[in-house]
Amino acid sequence: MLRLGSTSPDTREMDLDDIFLARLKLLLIMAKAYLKGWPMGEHRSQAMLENARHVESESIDLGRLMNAINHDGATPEPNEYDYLFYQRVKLLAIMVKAVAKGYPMGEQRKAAMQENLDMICQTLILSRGEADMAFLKVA
Amino acid sequence: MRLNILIVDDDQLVRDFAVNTVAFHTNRPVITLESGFDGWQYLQQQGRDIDMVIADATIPDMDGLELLALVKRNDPRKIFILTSSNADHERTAVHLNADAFLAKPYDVQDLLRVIQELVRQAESRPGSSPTSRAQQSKPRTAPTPS
Repeated sequence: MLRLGSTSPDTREMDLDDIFLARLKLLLIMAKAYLKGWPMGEHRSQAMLENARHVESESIDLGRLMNAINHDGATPEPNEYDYLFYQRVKLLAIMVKAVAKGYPMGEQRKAAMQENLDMICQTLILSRGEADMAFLKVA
Repeated sequence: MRLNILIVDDDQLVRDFAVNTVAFHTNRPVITLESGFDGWQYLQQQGRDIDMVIADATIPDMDGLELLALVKRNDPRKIFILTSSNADHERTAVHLNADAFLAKPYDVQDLLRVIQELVRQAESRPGSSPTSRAQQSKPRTAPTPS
């Protein structure tokens, strides 16, 4: 029997932060898949739209989330770093929604999407270390 | 990948996340239900169309472990992934012949990896994989006269 997911001591119900982080990773995978030219079908587009909407609406307290990523229990002070990351995540969600709705995506828009995606991934990698880079290879 | 998946979980947030992940990966509609009893009824009525079941251990009416036991008794080849926030359920899942155990909290890559691995294993068994069943349903062409 295959066994995946959290290890025994850390097994628990999924909370809002778990869901949001997982959906953020899914959003990154969706964006990467589109930029790599994966065929977009009806169900794929619908999944992209729903996921992007959720991420966009839930991107409200990323300062606390970044501390959860860094396993730091301290309450953060608002800073420019958090604000920029928050804006980039929202922007990516908007970009993915546009793709899912079939809006025309020219080369400039794709380049902007790729740049935004790279910045978000870079921030996550620097925050969590190399151990979590594997999820970026799923797409 | 022509894979028909049924997801049974009463936690809407987890269920919706799993649906978006699976639907994006397979580009197929995903059937979702909230209780084990509804899941079992659906499988009895339209189970032939379902290749894989992803069910949480703690769901109302009939829990995931009971559903797992019934599904495997009825069709041992049907792929069953049990998810749970209780590590103790893993031992029971092994005993009931679950194909995979996904411990919560799980991530995108966990869900995708377990689906990909189980499909790969199923396709390596001739005649029992979802894609080979799809190929078997194709109409045969008449032999050309010599």
